[in-house]
Parts: sequence; structure tokens; C-alpha cells
Amino acid sequence: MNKMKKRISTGFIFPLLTLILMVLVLDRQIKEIPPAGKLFNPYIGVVQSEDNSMSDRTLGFAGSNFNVLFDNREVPHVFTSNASDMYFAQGYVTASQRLWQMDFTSYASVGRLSEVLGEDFLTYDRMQRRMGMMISSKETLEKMESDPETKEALDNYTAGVNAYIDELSYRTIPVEYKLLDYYPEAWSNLKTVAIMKYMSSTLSGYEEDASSTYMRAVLGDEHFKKLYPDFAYHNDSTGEFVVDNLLDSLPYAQEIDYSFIESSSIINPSEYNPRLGSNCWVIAPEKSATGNPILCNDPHLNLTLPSIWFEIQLSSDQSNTYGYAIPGVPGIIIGFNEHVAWGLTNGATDVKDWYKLKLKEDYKEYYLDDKWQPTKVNVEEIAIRGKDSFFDTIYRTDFGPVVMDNTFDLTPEVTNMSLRWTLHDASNEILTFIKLNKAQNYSDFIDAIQHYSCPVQNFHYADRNGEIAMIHQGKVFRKEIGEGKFIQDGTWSENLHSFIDNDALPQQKNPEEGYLYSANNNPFSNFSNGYVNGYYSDLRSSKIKSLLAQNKKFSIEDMKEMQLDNTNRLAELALPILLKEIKGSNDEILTKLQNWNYTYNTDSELALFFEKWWNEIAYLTWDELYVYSGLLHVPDNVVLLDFLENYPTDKYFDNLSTSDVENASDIIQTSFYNIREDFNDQEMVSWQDTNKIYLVHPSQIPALSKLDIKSDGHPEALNATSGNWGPSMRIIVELGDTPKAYGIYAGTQNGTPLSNTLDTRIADWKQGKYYELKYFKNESSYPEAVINKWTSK
Amino acid sequence: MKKFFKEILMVFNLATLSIIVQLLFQDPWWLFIVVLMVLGVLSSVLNLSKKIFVVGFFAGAISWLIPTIYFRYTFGGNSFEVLSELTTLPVFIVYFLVAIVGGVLSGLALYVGAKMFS
Repeated sequence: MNKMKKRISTGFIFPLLTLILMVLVLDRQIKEIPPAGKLFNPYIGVVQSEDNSMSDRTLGFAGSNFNVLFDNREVPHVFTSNASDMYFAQGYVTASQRLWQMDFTSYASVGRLSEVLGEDFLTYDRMQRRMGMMISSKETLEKMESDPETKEALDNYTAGVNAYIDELSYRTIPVEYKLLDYYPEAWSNLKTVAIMKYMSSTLSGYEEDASSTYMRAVLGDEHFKKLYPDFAYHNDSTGEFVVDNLLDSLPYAQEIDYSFIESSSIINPSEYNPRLGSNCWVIAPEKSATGNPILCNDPHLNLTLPSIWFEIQLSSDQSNTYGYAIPGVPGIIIGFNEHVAWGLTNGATDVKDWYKLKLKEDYKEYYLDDKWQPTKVNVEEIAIRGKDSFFDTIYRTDFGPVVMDNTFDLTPEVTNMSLRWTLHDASNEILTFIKLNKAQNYSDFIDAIQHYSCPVQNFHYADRNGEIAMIHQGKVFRKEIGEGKFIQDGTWSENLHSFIDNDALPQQKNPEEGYLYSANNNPFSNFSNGYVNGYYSDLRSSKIKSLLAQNKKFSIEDMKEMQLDNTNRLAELALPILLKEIKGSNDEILTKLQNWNYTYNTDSELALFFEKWWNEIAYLTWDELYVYSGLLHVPDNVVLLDFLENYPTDKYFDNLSTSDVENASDIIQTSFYNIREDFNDQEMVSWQDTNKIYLVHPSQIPALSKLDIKSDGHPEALNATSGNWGPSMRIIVELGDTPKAYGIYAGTQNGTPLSNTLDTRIADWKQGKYYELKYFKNESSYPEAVINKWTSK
Repeated sequence: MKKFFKEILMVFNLATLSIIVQLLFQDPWWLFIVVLMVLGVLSSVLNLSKKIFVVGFFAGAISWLIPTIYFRYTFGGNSFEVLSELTTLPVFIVYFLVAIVGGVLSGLALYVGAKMFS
């Protein structure tokens, strides 16, 4: 009876309010503190994100029929009877492994990070929008969707990604969404284009127009040309060191008053890495041990976790292609089918130019061809998490967007200038890859790459009939000498450049030597079709040439050895010159250096010594330049080598800190003894102590990255592993009756940073291991390798 | 002593029930709190315990900590090492926090339910 006397009490109100408040606090991110209620919850939280186990699945997507076979490295082999289903399946499978990565990249590309990460990213977003990333993505999408084949690929890929997103719950979303507390939005074709633009931007974003303009203004034309020449390095048949200064005595075409930039307090360094590049080579049957052509490629890109690459096989009634795709983009970017193989290196040609404008104070008009013209105005809405949107007004002229103006002057040296960048032009690179995936011969290859505009790439080609080719493909401005290297005059429309015709771009097919190669080297040997400048590096390519020119036939094992070659080409060329100048010393390290094979292996003490010695020489030689606030970088290593060899008494060898007048020999000796003295005392004793690499998560959260990994390699070695960039992937393909291929990239197929196999995969990549790429001719090719099967009917 | 064992038994019963509820209903994540509040009302009506918050706390701590350890062992990933780096707290403190959050929410839910009737 007592129990029946219970009555409603008010004593619960305060604890209830406390409980509600706690739930609210634990349900959302507050400042940097993630939502602990959801995150710690063992049934849906972060622990559940560790579950990346695979199992057989039957999927019920109306109208989409496909089978996906996952092999023992979790590589999906997609089998369908038509292209629509193939792209749908690719979208679905890729999203299941890499959703957060592709989603985040699409936000970052077009300046939408504030929308999910808050106001701290507003400056970044404004920069991306002002660089034209959103506008050009929308215009490019329009062009791509006007092509039925591209639209089919985009629409089906998007539908596949969205089919996966629709299945997700908080428990199954990737861990990054949980940590950053947001949820995946629906995929769209625009997001795919944004990822393409992001890649284009990464590979063609570097420029030094302002710095070059400043340095030319303070040094004068003669000295500028000497220190920053348009050169090509050649390792001729005698193996001698030869630098061709391509512009010896030709005057620069453009003359505008550069005094405006001399007073700049500082020129901001480009945020893009000029050394992003790659190695690629192809050998014809006569150079191959088996008589089959071989293609080798290792793109040197930012080392990220998850990897930029996703390994996949795509099979339909039109093609059966294997290779590496970019998450978020339909098709395979680098790969092979039964008939052909193709690879890419960055063209490194300058496709990004600044034009100085004459603008009215309100930016509504600009002066062009002796009259005032209206600017185009775009108002961009940037959504901000937890706050009102920010509206940014961007003005555009015929030369491109005005990136910096009186409301946004992050890099004041280019304020009130327009940016002309081929990335802004609507183009259809996706069609190139759709067509490459099903190419069967050289004419298909040419048909595919003609759609390719930005960034300029060296496309390498090999087919099972033994044909090989290499084409420097993309939109390249036709300029006068020096144009595009400096800030240009934006008051005359004649300064807008046309493009060099595709068939006038550097290209080679079936050369007598039996091999072709590129490694971000300068492919232009003359300017008969217009002046071209770029951020080329010729040392690695000369190493490839020297190896391929050997009188031997190459096997796949030889190719692996080449890709992993740690020989620093610079050391190989420079050390004999340096050692000649160190006389009368019995130093033990000199004896070792004389017998050194120039390899930058992890345990190499000599690599560390040479590196320090060379840097000291560069520091003492270019000391005259450090007084200039607009100096971004000292002259190229090849220029310094040229000076040491050919101009030993040049004024730049004089050390400003001494009263004597030094020459090259003095600098070489002084730097040697400076380093020698320090070398005995230092804690770092081998190359791996200096050459640490970083696989960085896109969120920049250290806990999700792999940092300070000791590594071999060097930027001037074929194994160009250094800092946060290097061979992001390696692939070797031998075409024959059935393609035989090997490859590896740093990371796992499943992009989760919580994977328990991540360390093993990274270690395999670092140690130079290769996995066999299992090319399924049909679904029953490798029954023993199939671990899981997904079926949709 | 009998009362003590009765409360221990209640903790394990509640923890088991909480685990089942959270395995079956995951959206919204705080649904188990509502269930525990109802159980709190019931415990008050039935006069099951006077230390209802403590009972709820331990039941909640168990219902979050034990599955966390189980899932971590089963999946073999490194989520707690990541959380540890992010928060700059040792891993065992992260486990402790899991137990605290689960415990406080459950304890409070049960207490609120129990206090609804006097």
C-alpha cells in the first residue's frame, strides 16, 4: 500500500536539467573539444571506426549489375557488362574505402572548409575562391557535362558514391567525421570536378613571377640571366657536364616599369611545391630482356595519409583496365589494359602568369587598350559553421581574377593584379582518362590526350605491339622571350597569349635508341614555336638517360632497381670537381669520398657530409643575394655547378665576410674544412638522421599522420624521397600476352588512419618492396586470391 | 551484506540491460538515458535501492568500458592511441574518461527517474 502513495515530486527537476545540459554538451563539438558523448560511446563512437573488416555482400541497387572481387590486398576488381554500371560500382567501392578523403578534398579545393571546420578557415577559403577554384570548377563542369560520355561517367560515379552515403549511420561514417563532428553531404559531379581542379592546382600552382620581377629589377638583365637562366642540362654521349643557356644573348621582350616592386618589403614564397614531379620511362622490345615493352612510372607527389592513389581494376564490355585512380574521380589515371600502358610526369611548364592592372578605386573598371572597361563581378557566399555566411566580392578582367585587392591582401606584392592560369579554362581532362582506359593503340592514345589541358603532363605510352611514345601535353602559352617569367602588363589585350598547337608540343615516338623518359626536365630544345619557361629539373632525367643508354637489355628487376636508385645525380657530377680542389690533405673522409658511389642510403655517412658541404658552398657563394628581401631561392644547383666548373673567378665567389677576394677553389676548400670541423662533433651521423619523411593527414592532425620516418633517397636521386613528398606510387608494367605488373604506394586501400596494417604497408613502400598487381582477365583468373565478393543485381 | 549483494546484482542487471538497449538502438545515441530514467522510476516505485546514483554510475561505467575493451581487442585498431595523442592524455586516462562519461550519464538518468516520485 505504501508504494501506492508515491507522488510526483519536483526534486527531479534540477538533476534532469543537469542531465539535459550534459547530453547537449556531450553531443557537439565545443571549441577544440570533440563531442565526447558520441565519440566515447562504444556502440557508435570512435572504437567502431576501427572495424574495417570485409565480408561478402549482396547489394540491391535497382538497375546496376556488377560483381566486385576483392583480392588479398583489398584491391577491388570490378566486373560489369557496361560502362554505366562500371562507374557506379567504382563510385560505390571507392566511397566505401575513401569517403572522407575525397569529400574533404572537394571542400578544400573550392574554398568550403569554413562550412565544416569553422571561421578559422575563412582566409584559406577566400584565397581559394579568389584564385578562381570555385568559378572554374563550375565552368569546367558545364563543359564536361556537354559531352555525353563524360556525363555518363560522372552521373554514374556520383550515383555510386551517394548509394554508399545513403547506407551510412553515425557508427559507420569514417572516423574523421566523428573527430571533426560533421556528416558527409551528398556527392555531386561538381565535387568530382573540384578534385580534378585540386590536382591541377597542386601540379601547376607553383610560380615565382613576383620574385623574378623583383630580382631582375635589382640585379639588372645581365646578372639576372646569368643567375636564373632558361637552361637545359645535357649529359651528352661523352658523359661530360654541359649546360645549354637557351637564351644566351636574346633580350627579354617585355619592358614595363618594375620600380613598383623594388620597394617590396618581402615577396611571399609560393605555397606550392616546385619539386613535385615524377619519373617515367618506357623501353621498346629491343631494349627489353623478354622482348616485351616495359613502362615504369613513379609520380612524386605530396605524401599523404590516406594515399592520393586508390588501386582498382575496372572491367566492362568496352575495356578491362587496371591501375591507380584518384578517389573522387571516375576512371583510372595511371595504368594499363591488355593492349596499352600509360604513365605521367608533371610537365613543370609555367601556366600561371600575373598581369599588373590599372584599376579604378572601386574596382568596377580597368584600363585596357586605351579605354576603361567594366570588370566582371562575382559575389561568393562562403558558409561558416555556427556563424552567418561571409560574402566576398571578386572582380575579374580579361586576364583573370583580381586575387588580391584592398579587401584582401595576403600577398601584397600582387595586389591589383590579375591571375591568368590555364586551370581557369573549361576543359575536359576526365574524357582523356575515359578514353585512355579503353585505348587499344597509338591512335586511340592520341585521340584521348588531345582533350587534356591542365596541368601540362608528359604522357608516356607503350603498347603490346612494341610502339612507345612520349608527348608533352597540355595548354602551353605562346610567348615572347621572357614573357610569363615576370609580371606582365595588363593594360594591353595583345599581352594575352594564345596557345602553342598540340602538334608543335615536344613529342617523340619509337626513337632509334629504344627508350623514352621524362623527369620534369625541360623538353623544349628551341623556341621556334614560341618561348616557354617552367620549373624544370634536368638532373634526374639525365640519370635515367645514362642508365637506359647502357648497352644491355632490361628486365623487370632492373627496372625496380632503377626506380629505387639512391644515387644523387648532383653529387655524381659535382664531387669530382670539388675533390680536385682539396689538395694536400690526408683526411680519411677524402679517401672515402673518392671511393663513394654517390648513394643516399639510410646509413650513409658520406651522403650527409656531401649534402652539408654542398649547402655550405652554396651559402658562401650566394651570400651577395641574401640582402635582397625579394629573394625566394638561390640559383639552381646546376647553375652553381656551371659557375664552379666554367666561371671559377666570378665575383659571386667572393665571400663578403672576409677582406680577401675568393675564387671557386677558395670557397670549396673553406666550406670543406668548415664542415669537416663540425662533422666530428655532431650527433647526426648518417643520412637517415636528416632525411625524415612525413605522411601527413589532410586534416594536419599529427595523431592521424605518420611523421619522422627515417628514409633513404634524395630530391636529385631517382628515388626522390624527401620531406613530405616523393614517389607516392611506383608501377612497372610489362606488356605481353597478359600484362605483368608490379606496384606499391604508401598506405592502405582503406583510408582509415586507424588501420592496423598501415605501418606494415608504409614499411614495405619505404623498403622498396613491390606487390604483384593481379590483372584479372576475367572473374575466375585468380580464384585463390579472391577474399571477398560484392554482388549487385 | 545481503543488501550489498542485491545492489551488486542490480548493477550487473542494469549494465546488461543497458548494453542490450545500446546494441539495438543507436540513434539517437542518448536513447539509453531515457530507458534508464524509466528504470529509475521503477526502482523508486519498487524501493530497490537508496544508492540509486551509485548503482547507475557503476552500471553505466561497465556498459561503456567493457564493450570498449571488447571492440578494441576484436578490431585491433589504434583509435585510443589517436585519442590519446589528440588529448595529450595517457591511454588509460582515455579509458577512465569513457567509464566516467558512461557512468555519470547512467547514474544521473537513474537518479532523475527515481526522484520523479516522492
